[in-house]
Amino acid sequence: MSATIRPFARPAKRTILLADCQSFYASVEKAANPGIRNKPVAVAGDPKRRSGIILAACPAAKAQGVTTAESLRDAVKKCPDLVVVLPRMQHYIETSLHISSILESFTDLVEPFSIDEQFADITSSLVRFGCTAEELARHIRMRVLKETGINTRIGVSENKILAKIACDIFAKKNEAGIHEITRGNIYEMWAHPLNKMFGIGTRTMMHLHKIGIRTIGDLAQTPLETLRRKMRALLGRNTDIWSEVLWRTANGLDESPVNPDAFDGQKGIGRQTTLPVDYHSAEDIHVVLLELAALVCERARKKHYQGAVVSVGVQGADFDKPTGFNRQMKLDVPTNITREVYAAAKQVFAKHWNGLPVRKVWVQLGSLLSDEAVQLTLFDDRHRQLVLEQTMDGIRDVYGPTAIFYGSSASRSAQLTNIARKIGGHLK
Amino acid sequence: MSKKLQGNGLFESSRMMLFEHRDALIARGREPIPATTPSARRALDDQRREEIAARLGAALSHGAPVRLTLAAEPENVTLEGVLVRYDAAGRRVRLDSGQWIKLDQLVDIDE
Repeated sequence: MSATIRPFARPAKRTILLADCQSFYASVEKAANPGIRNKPVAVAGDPKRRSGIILAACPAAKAQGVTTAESLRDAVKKCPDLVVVLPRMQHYIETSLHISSILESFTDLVEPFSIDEQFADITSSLVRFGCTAEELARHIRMRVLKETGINTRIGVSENKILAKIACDIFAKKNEAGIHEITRGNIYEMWAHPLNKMFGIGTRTMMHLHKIGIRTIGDLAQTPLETLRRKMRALLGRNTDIWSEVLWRTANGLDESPVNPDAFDGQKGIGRQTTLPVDYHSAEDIHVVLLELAALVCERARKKHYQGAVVSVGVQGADFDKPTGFNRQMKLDVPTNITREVYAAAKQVFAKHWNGLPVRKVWVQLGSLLSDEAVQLTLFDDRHRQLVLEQTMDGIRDVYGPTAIFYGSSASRSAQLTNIARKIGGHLK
Repeated sequence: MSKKLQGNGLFESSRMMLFEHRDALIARGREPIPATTPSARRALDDQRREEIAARLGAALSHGAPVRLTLAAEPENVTLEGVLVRYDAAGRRVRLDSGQWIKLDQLVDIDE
């Protein structure tokens, strides 16, 4: 015997929500440790390194002035009884997946946007459950809280951009933790300053101020062609696409689907690291490039990919005055062999580095394809090299990621040990 | 038109994902059949599975409406619609209603 469910017509207007986890890392730690539940808690990087900054602070710590991204030293001055917890990135990923599963129990259209933010298209769910978006959002908040101990805030609207803005500007600030933006109340977001809008940082806000735009509403009500012309004149280059993205965001225009398949196809494999101090010499940066190339190739081999494009980037320490580059080169032969990716990375670096201090380095292998067909090239020992690296992979699998490495990783500028202990630059 | 103004471009370009998180999301879709798979599915023999796979392939290429029976407890569930997509990596198919169906749940398919 079976129950029949007939497909239902989806309403013409979509209903999208964005669920954001409050103080995610700190909330996970509080949920895991009842002893600190009523104390001000912050998750912070290693105090001995530059990463010794606050990654997340719970509301109680924030109430005492602790802010995300400030130094641990400053945070403790403001809040002497602050409980400082080292990050556990793997645990945070697992909690994020758990929240994805909860959302997926209401709709199969769920798309994580970051570790603590997820979009869900609930258009069909509302028909199926016969409830309002607010009722469903309330139920989702309750389930996430019950199952993970995390407080979520939920923005609701007809598209992703407005759901995100509804969450950022309103749901995070109100007691219910839920806000819906409709065409009827969109003017409420227009009263807010530009830097409250998704996609606008300090520099973009300063540019817009210079052309007389001070609120989200000013931006929305400026005719697109006028905005394009003024931005072009101000910046002396073609910024038409950027202008349109800003204008569409301010007007809440967005057709983006909630794409549960966003992660199905691996587009590239990359690694990056933030250095403990500025690196000034090419020799030192080469050591890090080799380490990153080796990590990227190891992952590519394990996933049975090879790549035809190598991208390299570096960045200086001052985020307000960005320096560095992100460039790529196409390889003659696709590869997942460290020596070849490193050689390409060195070439890109030599061509584009202007000698300014470097604080962050990344390497990516792109244009991936299966490694089943390995192209044979004459007069080289690719196969031997590949077997050697696969053997090294096997040793690392058994004895750990730093069990065997290239000699340069024993040098002063090496970062391998640090990288191996971390996810996203923070402790696993 | 710029990629940023098309499809999911705005969010693809601004998404902040740790690659370990991304890997975990991809791996989640490839989990083996859980031990709690309903008995109706576990009872399928190889020949029956091959039959279902052949009908699935035909339905995907013809685009004709189908009725899918999914193993569930306490009773099986039937869904109707047109199959519009096959995700080999995730081992699932998509109906025109937007619903994804895990192949591991499928016990029958009729045109």
